[in-house]
Amino acid sequence: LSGPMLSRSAFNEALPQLLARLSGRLSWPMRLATVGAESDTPVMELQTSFLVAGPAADASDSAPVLVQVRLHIGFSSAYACPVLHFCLSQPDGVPLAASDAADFVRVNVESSTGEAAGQLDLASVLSQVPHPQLGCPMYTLHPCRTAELIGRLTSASEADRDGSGEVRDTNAAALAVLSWLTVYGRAVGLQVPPECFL
Amino acid sequence: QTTPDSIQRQVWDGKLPVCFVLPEDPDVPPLYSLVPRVGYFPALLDRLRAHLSRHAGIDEDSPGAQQLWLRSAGRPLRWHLPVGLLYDLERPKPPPLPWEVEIRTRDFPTDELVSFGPNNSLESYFLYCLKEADALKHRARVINEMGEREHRQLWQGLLNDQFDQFSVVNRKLMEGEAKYLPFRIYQQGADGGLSVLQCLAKPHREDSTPLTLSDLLRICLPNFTDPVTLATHGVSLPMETPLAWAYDKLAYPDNFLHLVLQPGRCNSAGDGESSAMQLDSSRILTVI
Repeated sequence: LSGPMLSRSAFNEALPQLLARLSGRLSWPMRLATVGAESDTPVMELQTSFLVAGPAADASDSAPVLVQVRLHIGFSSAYACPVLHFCLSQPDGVPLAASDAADFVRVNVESSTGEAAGQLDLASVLSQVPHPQLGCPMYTLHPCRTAELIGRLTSASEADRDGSGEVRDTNAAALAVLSWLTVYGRAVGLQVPPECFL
Repeated sequence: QTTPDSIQRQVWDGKLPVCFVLPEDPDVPPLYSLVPRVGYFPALLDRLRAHLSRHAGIDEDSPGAQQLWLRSAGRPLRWHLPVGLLYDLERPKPPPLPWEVEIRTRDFPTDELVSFGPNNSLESYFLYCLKEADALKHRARVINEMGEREHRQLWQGLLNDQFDQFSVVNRKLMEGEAKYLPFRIYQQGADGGLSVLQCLAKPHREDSTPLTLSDLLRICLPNFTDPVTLATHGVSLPMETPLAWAYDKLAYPDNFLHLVLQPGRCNSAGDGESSAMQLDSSRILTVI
């Protein structure tokens, strides 16, 4: 790890600023919430709906379908970094079939990064897992490389002025999480407007 | 003579006799299987589908077979958890053996159960668990340095019950100094809800002596005073057991030490007669 690490408390303190930076600039409805039995674990919830092309197999009826995305931004103590959990469902709440969910993520990543279909090994980084506090099945992107990314982002921003190895400045933490979201949000079609960084 | 390795081997070799039944068609004969405690139920899906195809006339590609799920004592089996852990969690006490597990082909509980299949493989989930464990121990350095071939070998070793194939790679994950030890503490409520507790625990106390299981409970459940036992693989552990020792010998192949919280003291004769535990729920993350 090259840069100072994000702590859970720095992340928690940065969430209100994250919300403030995104509100009004991103059209997704969003709010801060708490999860866990003690309601002491803050997360940020965002949701929206996308119109996507109908299943390719059904060539006769390629009417667009509505996919609802519900996104949770939380913190992983194990990786000391933010983590994304999301649900993809039809308007009636029925979860998307796993193949459709994988296609949705793949299309979003490809359209934002331009990577060719065959080179993306989604299976190794996208899994449906029980949400750590809620327990219900949600998709997540394996955070294995996130800590590296955060380290690079924080070391570039001189966020560790007191040499503690941890990001203590709330502003720096919020910007680090925002940068992380810029990268990982793409998987669900979330595009962070550049104005959020101002 | 008992070598240290033999405890890990015994843990690996532990198996549970399971009897899979199809309540929706009582004419279908049950499927009996010796299932590894450290394995996962979804690994048996192909076998179950083949059984249904042969005896229940349910085609393997049909929606019923594809959306198959499992139930025990009226509750969906949370099959992302290892088989042995699920058995040890059953309340009020572990069921008689062979363990009767119901196969269901309708009404998959999408809000409760992770769905495993070609687009969300059990192998990918297993790797996800290994990565998190290594993140806690080594900031994910060891697992990230391993290539896909070694990741694959860990999974194949588990799937095919090949201890040596698994261990030769797993050794790298299990050796060396760990920053935090990967563990989870589970408690099944009488209402079927499952509490899962996970926190950061170092192998040593401030004074460098080994952290014990009772230290762990004090960290995770600081307001808790009732006598409890921590058990794993069906065995109750003395509270003075060093966490690092328990981890080294008793961790599951996913590199987590999965501990079940039970009422009563270790070695007590109580076997489930006590009703719901009196726990300070303010420190427990309740998971439905």
